[in-house]
Amino acid sequence: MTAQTCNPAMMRQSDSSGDARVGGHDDVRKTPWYKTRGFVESASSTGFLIPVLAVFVVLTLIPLIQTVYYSFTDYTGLNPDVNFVGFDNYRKVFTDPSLLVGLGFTILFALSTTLITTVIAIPLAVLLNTKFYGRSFARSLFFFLGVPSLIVLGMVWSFILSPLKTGALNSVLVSMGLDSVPWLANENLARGCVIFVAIWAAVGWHATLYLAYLQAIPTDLYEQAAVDGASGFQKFIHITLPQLIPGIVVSTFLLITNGLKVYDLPFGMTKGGPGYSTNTITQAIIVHGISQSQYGLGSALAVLFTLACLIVVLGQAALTGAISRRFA
Amino acid sequence: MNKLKPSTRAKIGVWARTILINAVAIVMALPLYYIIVNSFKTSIDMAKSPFGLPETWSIQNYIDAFANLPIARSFLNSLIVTVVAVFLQLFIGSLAAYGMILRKSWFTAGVGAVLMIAFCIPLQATLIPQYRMEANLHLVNTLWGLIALYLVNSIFCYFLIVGYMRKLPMEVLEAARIDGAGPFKIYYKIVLPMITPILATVVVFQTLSTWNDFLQPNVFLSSTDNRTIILQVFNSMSQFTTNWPAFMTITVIALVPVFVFFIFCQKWIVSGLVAGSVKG
Amino acid sequence: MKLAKTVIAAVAAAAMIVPLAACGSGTADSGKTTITYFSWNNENQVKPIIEAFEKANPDIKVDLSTAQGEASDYAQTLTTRAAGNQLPDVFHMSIETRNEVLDAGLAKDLTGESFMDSIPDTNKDLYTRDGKVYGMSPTAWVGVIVYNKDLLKQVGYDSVPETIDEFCELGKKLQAAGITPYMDDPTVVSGSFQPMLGGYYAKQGIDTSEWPEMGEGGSFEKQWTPIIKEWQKLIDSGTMPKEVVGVNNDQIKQQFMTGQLAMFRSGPWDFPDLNSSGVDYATAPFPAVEGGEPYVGGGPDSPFAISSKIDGDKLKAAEKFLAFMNSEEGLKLEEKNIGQISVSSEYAADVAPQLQDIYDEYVTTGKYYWTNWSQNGNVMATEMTSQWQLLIQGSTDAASVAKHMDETWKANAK
Repeated sequence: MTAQTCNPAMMRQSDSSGDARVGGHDDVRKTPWYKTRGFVESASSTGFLIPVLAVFVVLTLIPLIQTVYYSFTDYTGLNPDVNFVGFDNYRKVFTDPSLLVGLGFTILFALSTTLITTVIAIPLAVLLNTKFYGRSFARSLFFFLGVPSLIVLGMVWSFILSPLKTGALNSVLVSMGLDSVPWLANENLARGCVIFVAIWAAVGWHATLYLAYLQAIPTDLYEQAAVDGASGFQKFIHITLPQLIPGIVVSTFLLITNGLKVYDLPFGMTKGGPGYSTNTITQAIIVHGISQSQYGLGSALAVLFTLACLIVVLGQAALTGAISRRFA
Repeated sequence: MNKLKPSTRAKIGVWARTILINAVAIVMALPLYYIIVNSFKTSIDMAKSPFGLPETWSIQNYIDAFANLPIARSFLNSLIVTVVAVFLQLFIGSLAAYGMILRKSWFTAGVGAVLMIAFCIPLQATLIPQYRMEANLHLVNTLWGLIALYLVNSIFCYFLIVGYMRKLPMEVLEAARIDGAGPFKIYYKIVLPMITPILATVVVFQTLSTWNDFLQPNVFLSSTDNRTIILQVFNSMSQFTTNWPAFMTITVIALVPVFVFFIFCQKWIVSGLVAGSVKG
Repeated sequence: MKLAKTVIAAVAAAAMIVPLAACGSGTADSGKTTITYFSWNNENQVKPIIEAFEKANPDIKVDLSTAQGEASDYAQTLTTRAAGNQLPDVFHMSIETRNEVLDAGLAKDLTGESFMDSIPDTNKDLYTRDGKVYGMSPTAWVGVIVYNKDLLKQVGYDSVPETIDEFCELGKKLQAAGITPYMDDPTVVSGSFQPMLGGYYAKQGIDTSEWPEMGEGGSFEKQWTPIIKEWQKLIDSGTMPKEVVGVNNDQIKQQFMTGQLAMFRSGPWDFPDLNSSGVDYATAPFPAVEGGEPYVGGGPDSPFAISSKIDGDKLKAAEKFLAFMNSEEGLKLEEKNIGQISVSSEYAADVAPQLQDIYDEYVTTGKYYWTNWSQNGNVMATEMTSQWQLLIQGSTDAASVAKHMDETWKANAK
């Protein structure tokens, strides 16, 4: 691999001239139609997509269709006798207060982790990209926080954030002469704690992602700006941020989808409590659908939740798309 | 301050950042310290001083863990599942990304949209149908069955890779084609080397998420011999008699290989990224 | 390409290992009958029992799997496996899942099997439908208050008072001395409420076999509200601190073992840990609410069930397995490893000395209670747990809790 092929300047050129490839070099010399570029390219392009489509159909589409089917039945998961019940399950979803609370927390969790993680991860990545002592140590450490499995981390944090006076964090507070805090014993505090831990774990991961994009920014842009006398903040706003847009698109997309699908962390930390305050939709799907032998109800929940995810993700795509165009 | 020489200011900046970032990093890492230090304590020690150093450093928890649990076997299972699954995910995902950039049409646009939708579907929504499917194929409680499930993540790989691939210099691909290289050859010989930085990133991320997965092994693997290491960690806990230092110990044991992998790969990612941004 | 080569090498290596690994677990031990057993308890506890069984029956191999967490996790895994036609050959029903399991016809009829003869009727009744027994439960569990003798002595008590008001008095004195008085696990159905309810029903002569709160004409609002109000005294007096929500059972146990907590809800399953802590402890029943009497929590352990899908050698092996679990050797091992108390006539329980008084005065006289949900057990248990967490936090009241229980009951009625 040569440095030449990845020359950033070339990448930038290709951005502007990318569309030229479609109409370019059409110097067709009586080749049979099946050997023409258009056909070969289209066929092979389809071929490259077949494995991913097969995965999608077998592992997602077919099971999802079955889930939709079960959502209209009284299937328990245990009993092979299945009866159609129409929209009963859907009606139950909308009249169950615990599910509505769960929905609220899931949305709160997804939005706040996406926003806060992004706001912290970008400056963190910029800092990690500058010169300082212990740089590789700090980079490794931040990233490493996202390494252990979230359910394990959740349980470890439930010890640290124990509301008892002897809890790990509270004992530190008490020894400093402060009052102990009922971390996980209070509905709102528990919500805050779960969100905090999610951000704690994700920030290094996403900063690493941004770091990869930062390092692809051509340095001559900064050199030019320095010649023009731009301050550090101006450089950040006018060069770094716009160049990071693709990174932001990927990172927020991942954050929001993972946020909506979150299961391990709240489950490990609070099991959804106190009350239903940190219950998530995914946990509700598992609890209702499988543990409580109401697979039909769980399926209805899953169907509605999938639709809700689509709306949120399309909204996110539209928003980041608009931002990309604005800066492009 | 403004009167300081630029070199002096830069030095101050370096030191300020050094102190700030390292301090934050250390505070953020306290929970990791908490896990490690408690793995050397007894239950009672741990409750008495959660953040303190153990009164006596004891490796008894580690001895017990290796004596009581088939840890080596679980490691091997995790290793097999992770290596094979990540390789396949990477292959399928990068191939799909390549197919997408090769040509823009209503078809690729449709596939892109479908994949995006697919990515939004929570695993829990398809769990039981997947289980029934694998049960019919006798794949339940096998490592291959688990690997097959993880192929869903190639959609995730595709998303990470396609963004990077769109930035590739199309002239190089064009040139190769004029030289008579077929699409697959271009993919293998030209595209893959050019996207190494993002591939490395994806390998690291996918390795971690596969290694750490709990939900699917928990549902799909039932016999002791097939357990992954994370499942083993969970199995060490039970309804009434959890020994938390033992739990911390097994957590540490499960983390060590990931940590080693991470140390090696981190160098690798950095070198890949550096190669990607050499001044031309 | 360094990466590609490394990866290919790694995959090749893995590909060679996988088939070997698969062989190792699948085809070994040919000639033996293998039965799958999905255990309710954790592996370290069950393994010695399985090994003893395999030693006694060299032609049978037990493929053991265990639940990772709590009752709901067990139900979750069981449901998934049943849905995928992978029902274990031997599994456990529970109070929470028995109706669903029986509705689906997953359990084999055990009526008339020789190993059922020694099972007492109370343990059979719960798992009987239309005169046929589907589960074998040779053991029982009991949940009590475990207290630290020294801490109680510090505030002038030798034992745990027998009424809730006196109990809360003790709570206040302990608090004044800087000691946390009492806790029970808020992540499961309240371990203190159930015996208080049972003691009330017993004193009032209410027949619990007809489910006073769930049966004809009954409601949680009518039956439970006064007792919830009584139970709330634990919270109002600070005897059980509000912070208990957000703490799990292990943290509670550690508090007790380190002498910071005077009393907690526990049972024989904790005795080995408690003995190792050096705390001088004893057991007591739960105090009586107004109009009730002291009572303990308890009931039959989750019974063994045999899959209705097996026959031939497998069925024979499964029956041998159940017979072993209800033999003197099996019951002794269950007592030693899991802390289960034998109620089978095959073996008279050798109760731990700490529990002897409770055993004599409460267990053998039937003064123990636990709500046996007559349907949708897991739904009701989850709702009850959540409502209790809100109650402890002070964000709801007794009447509202009971009302929610009724609503959940009705919403899921069949």
